[in-house]
Amino acid sequence: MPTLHESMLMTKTIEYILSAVFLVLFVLFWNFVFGTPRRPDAHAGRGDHHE
Amino acid sequence: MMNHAGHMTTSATLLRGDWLPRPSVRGHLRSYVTPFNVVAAAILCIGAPVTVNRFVNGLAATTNLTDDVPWGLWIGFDVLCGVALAAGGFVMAATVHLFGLREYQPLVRPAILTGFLGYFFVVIGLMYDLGRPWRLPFPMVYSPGVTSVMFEVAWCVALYLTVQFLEFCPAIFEWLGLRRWRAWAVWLTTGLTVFGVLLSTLHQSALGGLFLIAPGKLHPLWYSPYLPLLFFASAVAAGIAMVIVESMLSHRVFRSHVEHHDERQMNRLVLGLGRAGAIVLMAYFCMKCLAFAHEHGWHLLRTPYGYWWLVEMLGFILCPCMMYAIAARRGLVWLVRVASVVTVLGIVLNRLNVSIIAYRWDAARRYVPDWQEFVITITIVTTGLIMFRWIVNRMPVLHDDPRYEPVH
Repeated sequence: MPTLHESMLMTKTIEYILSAVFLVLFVLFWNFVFGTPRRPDAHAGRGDHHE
Repeated sequence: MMNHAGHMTTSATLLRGDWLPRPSVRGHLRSYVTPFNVVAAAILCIGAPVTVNRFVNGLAATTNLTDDVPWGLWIGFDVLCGVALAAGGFVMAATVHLFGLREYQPLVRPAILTGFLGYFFVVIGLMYDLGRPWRLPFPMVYSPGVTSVMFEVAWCVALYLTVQFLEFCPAIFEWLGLRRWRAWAVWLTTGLTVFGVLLSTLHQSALGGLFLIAPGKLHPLWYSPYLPLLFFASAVAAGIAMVIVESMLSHRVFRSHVEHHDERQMNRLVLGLGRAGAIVLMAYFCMKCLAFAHEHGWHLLRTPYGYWWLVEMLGFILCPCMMYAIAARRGLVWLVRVASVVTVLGIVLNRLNVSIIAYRWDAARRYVPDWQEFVITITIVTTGLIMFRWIVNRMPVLHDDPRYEPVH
């Protein structure tokens, strides 16, 4: 049974690791969303054909 | 009885039906008989007597609320969801008037109108929910209660409702032909936008702050000391999604108002909003995960509430986030629209989870809304739609008035 101190340490460690992971993921995601489109012919009007 | 020509009506004319409106007038009246109007009229016919019952016989006669559960569907849906989904007004106003992205100008007025009506009907919903609705102005004039989060919410909602009305005034003055008044209203735009963003940030987060007082009542998977931050982030996502959904519906329902719009330009705007939606939803998702880790609720994941929480997290936050991102990347406008609908449903689900489903989750007797509560909620939403249509059909909301310069 972990003590309260050990439990808090574990929680804080997980929080810090998650924060770092999410920061990296967020930067990658930003790059994915605002990066150059994979298909150069992709433009705004394409969605119409799928409606 | 006098007919239209002013002649005295005889029994013969009565039998002939000459006293009836002329065919053109009859045709005009017949034009009101549309599926939407018929359904709306039926809802209002049911809602009116329930409203009378609520205000004559009180909350006990119309709701299943108790002293243990004093906030039900009207607070959970009408107020919390209403405020979150009305966030499009301040999001779009800030985008155009503060960040200078002027190409989004065509979406500002519909967003502000949706926001204004959303807040207006939040106040109407609050009138139904308050035991003594005539005390609504008390936080302003009689008993402020400055230590309560509700003091902040009351002031912010009242001020922001006023701000949104003033932001919408240029459209009203254009409709009325009041050129000088319109110039004054336009002159105020930037200041009003700054004030509106400030007020929205405060009260969107304060609505989450209302639940900070109830850590023992709200399920640990939804409770977090970061609730104000989560409410604000999700409100921005809801605002963006509502602007997309609203523009999609308006383009179908009010086709004649938007036929001059450049379709490709509108699609570009929708894709831009989709990008913003993806980023905001990802930020919201990360914040929710960190709040979960902070509460150390891993053991709760393998419970029925844990599965339900995962449905909200994965199905209604991460899934639309990815849909937005893929749609923006590949230029799929239809996917942005689908993602927006899922986002709106997700924010509604989140607010209902926090205020009803996961609230008093361990109580022996759970709160289930009375049928009359549903009727009032549907009546309020229907009235909002009717008012939206009435305004859009008269004022320059979806289209610019050619007699005036656009507001920038």
